[in-house]
Amino acid sequence: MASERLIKSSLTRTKSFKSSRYYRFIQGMNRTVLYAIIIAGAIAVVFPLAWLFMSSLKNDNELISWPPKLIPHLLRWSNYFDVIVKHEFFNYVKTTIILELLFCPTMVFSSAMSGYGFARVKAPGRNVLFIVMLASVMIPGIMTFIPQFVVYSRLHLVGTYWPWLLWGLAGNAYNIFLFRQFFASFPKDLEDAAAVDGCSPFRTFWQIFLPNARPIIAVVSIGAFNWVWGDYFNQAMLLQGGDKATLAMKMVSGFVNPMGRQLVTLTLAANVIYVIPMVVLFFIAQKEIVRGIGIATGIKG
Amino acid sequence: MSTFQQMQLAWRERKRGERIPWRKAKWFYLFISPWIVGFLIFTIGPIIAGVAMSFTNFDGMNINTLKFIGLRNYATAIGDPKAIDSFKRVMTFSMITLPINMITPFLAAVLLTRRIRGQGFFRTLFYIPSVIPLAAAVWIWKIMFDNNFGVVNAAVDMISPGKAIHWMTDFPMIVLILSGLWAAGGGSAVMYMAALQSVPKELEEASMIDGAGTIQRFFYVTLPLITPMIFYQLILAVIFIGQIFIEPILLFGRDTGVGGGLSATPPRSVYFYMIYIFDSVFKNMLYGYGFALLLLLYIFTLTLTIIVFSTARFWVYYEVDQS
Repeated sequence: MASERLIKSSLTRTKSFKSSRYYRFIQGMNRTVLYAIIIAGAIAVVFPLAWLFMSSLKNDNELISWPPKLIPHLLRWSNYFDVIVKHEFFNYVKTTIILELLFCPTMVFSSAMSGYGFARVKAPGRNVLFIVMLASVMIPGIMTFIPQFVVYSRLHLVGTYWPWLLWGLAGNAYNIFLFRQFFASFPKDLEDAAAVDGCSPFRTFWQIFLPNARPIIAVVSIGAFNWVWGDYFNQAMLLQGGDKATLAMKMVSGFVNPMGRQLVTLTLAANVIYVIPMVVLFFIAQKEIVRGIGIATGIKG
Repeated sequence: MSTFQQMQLAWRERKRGERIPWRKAKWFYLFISPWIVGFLIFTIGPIIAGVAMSFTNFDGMNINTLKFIGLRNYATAIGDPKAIDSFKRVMTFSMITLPINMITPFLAAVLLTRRIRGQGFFRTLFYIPSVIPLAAAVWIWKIMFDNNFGVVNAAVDMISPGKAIHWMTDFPMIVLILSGLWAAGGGSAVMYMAALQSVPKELEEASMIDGAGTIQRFFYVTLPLITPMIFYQLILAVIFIGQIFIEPILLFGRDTGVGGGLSATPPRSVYFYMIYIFDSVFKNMLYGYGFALLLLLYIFTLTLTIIVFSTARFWVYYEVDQS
């Protein structure tokens, strides 16, 4: 009837159509186009990195030759050798590692402590403070930086490593939130058992909750490490010395030869070395995040 | 005590509000003491000091001859043509970038949540640019967009031979947009993917049974259920896009004076508001004025955020009532 035909009027939804060869062809076409777009996107995303790596293996002249070639004529691994040996790459790494050692452990412990407090220790005002803490994320960094800079100048702390230690001790809202969510998911029996055994709250935290928080500790410490490793602004503003230059600072200013000419391919090689730890840590963090979410929520993968 | 009596007791206690003895409550404050102290010293303190500073003519050194000048900094700020122009520039940039940086990752996420092989591989691949530090990324764009030997100009040369576009000097905005999308798109795409995958399959299948076509299903089932994630991305974008500051300086800055990278000045077309604030404070030593500009920006961002929040009622769908 006419009304029946109206309901089933769309030919493309009939069963006979969906099993026809034509439809399967369309499906195949769709898949191919989909994959093509995705692969094109993947190439677009990876290409800049490939270009960086390939350019770091070029001669300085080859870099500025025209037309630009992706793969250099000769692979100039000596760039890497020169950066590490002749230009003391690891001096800058050393400075950055000092900052990391000051910042990461303090950040992890401070955030873990605060996260534990917010998650497991009841007290009046806890909820209000938690909301205040979350809201503090919205404050732009530079707003707190400028007055801090004034204070640091007054206290002659500019050019020292103190700010990083202090920032680590203060903790960070994101990380506190992560720990809080994680600790909140532990069963109450754990605390009760510890209390029965006569544990003070701090011992409960230190010996029971913290050791079980390895995934979050990994995530937070990797995040803290990445922040110090990549942070140009704070380091450039507070550590202005040439000999105190950190990795991030040097990677921006680049390497020059004794006559002052910029050694571009050398700098590119240094940047490649600079980037590798971040990528490695990213993969490690991913594994830990998935594991951590699995532990906290019971959802695997 | 019977179970019922226990329940009654618990309910009554709850109503009265549990009095927690200070003996126990003090532990909470002990645990968060590092954060509290840090919060006061590094967040609240600076803000109060900064606001106070914005009412003076502080120039970094004249603590002794400090003068309270009230709202004069703000009055100057509102009338300052450099401030207004730089603000207009960053707003224009935001209006172009916001849609691009929200829609492109979203489309990528939609593509990646189809039934394809290697989904996890592509997701990781797209996320890698987000972990590349800014310093390295700046070099990538500097050599790719270079006038004389950049890859991009090689592609341009293939299309119209002999033509070399001076990206870094003539079209810095485009370079900023592309580099920004490259660095930030992956993160957004991963979030959108998570949101898309959280749409319950039963709903999609139910809609298909009811005769919804692919496009209908997308707009009436999938899209509404991911509006919370879209809202979250929108809020983040609104808050942070106006503060863009380091990238233009490092990518396009000229006149590197004493002090390294941050003293460079970008060309006019990407001289954004935050850069003007930075220059006012650290190059022109007008701390008070710079902070006044900063506060004005913050008030603007806050207002915008509140507006977006208030429209959420109309288009963001939450499973659980949020009121």
